[in-house]
Parts: sequence; C-alpha cells; structure tokens
Amino acid sequence: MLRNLFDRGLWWKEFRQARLMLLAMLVVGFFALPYTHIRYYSIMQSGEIYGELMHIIRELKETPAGFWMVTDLLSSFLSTMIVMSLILAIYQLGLERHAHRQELSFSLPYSRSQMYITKLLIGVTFIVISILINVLLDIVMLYALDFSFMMMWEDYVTYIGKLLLVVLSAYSIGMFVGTISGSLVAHIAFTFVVIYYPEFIRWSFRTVSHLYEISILQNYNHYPLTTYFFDMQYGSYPSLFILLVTIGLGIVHYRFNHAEHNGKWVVVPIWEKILIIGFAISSGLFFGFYVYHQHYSGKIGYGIGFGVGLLIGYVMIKLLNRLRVRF
Amino acid sequence: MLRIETIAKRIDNRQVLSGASFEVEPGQIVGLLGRNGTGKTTMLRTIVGIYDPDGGKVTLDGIDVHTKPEVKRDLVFIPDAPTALEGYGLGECAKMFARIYPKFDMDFFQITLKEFGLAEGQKVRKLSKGMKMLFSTTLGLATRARYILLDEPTNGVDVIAKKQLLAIIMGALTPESSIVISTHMLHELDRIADKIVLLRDGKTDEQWTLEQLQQQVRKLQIVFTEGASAQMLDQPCVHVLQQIGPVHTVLMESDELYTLLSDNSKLLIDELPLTLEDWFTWKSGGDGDAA
Repeated sequence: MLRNLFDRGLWWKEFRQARLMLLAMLVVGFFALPYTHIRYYSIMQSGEIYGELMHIIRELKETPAGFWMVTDLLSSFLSTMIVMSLILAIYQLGLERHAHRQELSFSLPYSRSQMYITKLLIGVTFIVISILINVLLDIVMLYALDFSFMMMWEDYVTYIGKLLLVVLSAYSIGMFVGTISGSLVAHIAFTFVVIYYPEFIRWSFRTVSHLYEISILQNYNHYPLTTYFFDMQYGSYPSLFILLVTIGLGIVHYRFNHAEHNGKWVVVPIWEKILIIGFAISSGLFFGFYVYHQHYSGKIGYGIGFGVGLLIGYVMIKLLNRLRVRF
Repeated sequence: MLRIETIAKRIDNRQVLSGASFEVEPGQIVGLLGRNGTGKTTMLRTIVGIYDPDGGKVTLDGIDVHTKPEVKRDLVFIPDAPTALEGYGLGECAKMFARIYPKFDMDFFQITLKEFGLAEGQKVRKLSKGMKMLFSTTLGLATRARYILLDEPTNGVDVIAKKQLLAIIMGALTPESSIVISTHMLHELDRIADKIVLLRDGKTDEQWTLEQLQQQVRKLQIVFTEGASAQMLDQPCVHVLQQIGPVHTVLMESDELYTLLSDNSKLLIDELPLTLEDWFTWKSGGDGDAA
C-alpha cells in the first residue's frame, strides 16, 4: 500500500506538473511574512511612520510586548497562503482537464485513488515546505532585527500549527471542488462560489427570515462554514474535520470521474442536479432581494422577484450547462 | 491475451459502443477500422481506462484492466496527438515513461529519435504535427509494453516519415507483443495487419484475419454479354463497386454464387486482387449514422 502511495513515476509526473507552484508559494509567502518584517524594521529605523502601518508602529512603540503585531502579520500570511493553496488546487486539477492531461493520467497504470492521494501529498508537501521555510525565515528575521525579546514563542508556534491546518483544509476544499468541476474555468468559478456563497446565503437568509419570520433561517450566523474563508475563527477541530471530510469526498469523486464529461461545468451527475437547483434558487433569492429593495417592498414584491428569478436562473443554467468549455 | 468483452459506452446521450468484443493475441497487429464517429477512439480510450465502460470488461491475461490498473504497465495508449506532453521536453518524457514503465528501452528511444533527426532537448510543442506523431509513437514503442494501442499514428505524417514509422512499428513487434492500430490509411494496414476489426453501429460483428478475408471475399470483374441478366447480382452477398455498361466490378462473399457465375458461359469473369479499401467501402458504405 505504502509502495503504491510513493510510486516514483507518479510522484515525478505530479511534481513536474505542479513544480512552478512551489516556487510561487515560496516567493509570495516570503513577501507576505518575512519581507513585511524587514519593511517594518526599515520604517521604524527611518523614523518615518506612514500609511496603513502608522497605527501598528505607534502602538508597538507604546506597548513593546507586541505579539499581536506578529499575529496581525500572520493573519495576512494566512490569507495569502489560503489563496495560494486554492490556486495550487486549480493548478493540479483544473489545469489537468485542459489539453487531455487527465486522459494521459487515466491511461497510466495507477488507480484513480492513488493518483488523487499522490496529488494531495504533493500539494500538502508544497504547502508545508513553503509555510515552514517562510516561518523559519521570519524567525531568523525577528532575531536579526532584535524583535525576539517581545515574542511569545509558545503562542507563535501554536498559531503556526493552526495556520497550517487551516491552509491545508482550504487546499483540500479546493481539491474537492476540482474533482467535480469539468474544466479549468469551472474549477475557478466554483472556487469563488465556495468562498463567497456562504456570505450570499447569510445575506439572503437575513432578508427572508426578517420578511417571512422563518425562525430556522434566523440562525444564519451559526451555519457551518458560513464564515470559513473570511473569519478563520474556527478552532483546530473544525479545520481537521473539514480536512478529513474533503479528502474522503475528493477520493470518492475522483475515482468516479468521467473523463468524457471534461469540458462540462460539472463532471459528476449528482452535482449537476445540485448545480441546476442551487443556481435557480440563488437566482430567485437574488431577484427577490432586488425587487424587494428597488421596486416593491413587502412579501409580495419579494415573492414575485423570487419567482421570476427562479425561472430566469433555471433557463440560464440549462443553457449554460449545454456549453462545453475548452479551458 | 488482451480481451475486450461486450464493451458498452454511452457519451452525451449517444450509444457509441454497444457490445463490442474482440481479442488481441500475442504477435498480432490488429487494425481497428470504422468510419469517422463510429467510436474507434472511444474504444481505445475505454480499453486503456481513460473511460470506464458502462458494460462489459477489458481483461489482460484474465485480469480486469479497470479494477487492477497496475496491469497497464503492459498496455500503452498513444493518442492521435501528444497534447498532454506539450509542456515537456522529449528527453523529459522518456525519463517520465522510464519511471512508469519498468521495461522502458532508453537506447531504442534515443536511437530512433536520432534517426528522425530529433534532439532530446527539444520541446514537444515546438515539433510539427508529423514529428509529434513520430515522437509519441517512438515513446509508446519504447515502453516495451506487450500491448500498444495507436490511434491514427500516421495522421499528418509525410510519405517518407510514414514509411519510417511503419518500419519501426513492424520492427518493434515481437512474438510476445501486439499492436492495435486505429487508422483510415487502409492501404498501410493491407501491408502490415494480421487481423481486421470493423467497428460499425458500436459493434464489432466483422472480424477477419487478412488471410481469411482474402479467401472469403472475392473481387471480380464480370462482363455480361448479350442475353445475360445482371439481376443475379442483386443479393446481400454481392456488392457492386462499379458498373460501366455491361462491365461490373463486384465483391462477392459466396462460393456457391461464384461457382454458378463461373459456369455461366454468357459471362466473362476475371478475378482482381482484393484490397482492404474495397472491403471497407462495402461494409461501411451503408453506415448512415457514421459521421
């Protein structure tokens, strides 16, 4: 089993396919963390305090025990690495569906699960390497710039651990999205949907629950994942749970990928139905909101908007679904 | 032995394959024929595991290729264009395949590339269409897999390179290995194929060795002299290729009818050499669905 997971031919192929992303993640990560510390330092040295850094530097000067400053930086490092990990997932799966690359993969003597797990392991390796190297560089920088005296290293290490888990779970979500998307464009589009859709749902449910007094919808703030990509306030367990679930879902969906559907929006039949229903309902929610705020307020206005939107959305997605996307 | 058993495949609400079956024995070159859109590429893709069959199975020495993909170390598919490898260098592809296929013959790959005037450092995307096919066929043959599936290998290749390509295909064949070629170039198959499989309406009802085919089907030129009626050719076992006045060029699949016609003193009969193209025209001509 282990030998299967570390087949050198498959590893070489997958590494070769994604290697550019390792370099990109290292470079972008560097500018998101260690370089920013150097910039802070040079600004402090020059005595010129300006722009978005002003409040940070001022407060740092007033309260030297400034781990918060580092966490502030780490959270921007976290967002950057989440974006990079999602791009990595698109690079590994979305791009593979372009130019018959997936067909080459499927013709090779490996099982689909073996291929997907190898992709994941390569991705995880890239993420861990790029984060750890940049964090190490950051630590070296903090020492070199004499910031180390105000660091709370235990908190720092815990934060990095959580950061790794959150980035890995975001990456795994991106990979799972890639297993059901039929093209590069679809993978990119659905990644945006996964990021922003929970916000849209929260926003829509707020209006609907207020209008129709539906109690169950009033808990919109507590739905799982609604703020996953924005707040990152979850503890380690939800991230771990998401990581494991999306890995499992990804393996299952990749195993049943139909290469003949490549070019469609969705390659898994059940998700095609979900897409049609979801798109129509979302269109209804959007148009309901629009009519309610722009033309006729009240339940009837919202209802008419929702109905029209539902119909428009259904027709649109049916037409879109017939298209084959080359990229 | 590679055995394809009642494979069915539906793509975009169209039944492309509906119970296609054939066998590939060691040492054989098998020609897979069919008009455009009859599912030859789908068939090859299903055999190699790119597509999962909706029904039936593909076995290699009795092992199901789709449930045990590791047996595909002995089964290689070379598509009609190596688009998946366009970002790679030629030597890089060889290194990758050498890691995947344990019997990869690097010497053969390097020597053949040199023969074609290709350098290992060149990028696949920089090659002309014909050169890409020469390269990818060489790559496939160098794996030394026992079963090699080639989809339109002579597509876009010039006459000289085509000869070289056919020579390396023939040269790579060993008593243990087999090659399946899907092609429209029937005159090439005429020279190299041992067995012909005709794909029509998603099925493979017509399968012949070339020897059997030449024994079974006759190409005749028949001249109907005065008083003789050409109506006797209106039979399912006869296909009229051409008619110029009383001269009919026909294909005939019946010994009895041939004997009957031969005994008719009002007819002048001459036997012509049968080509695969004649037979293909007969068998695929009525295939209205084929695009």
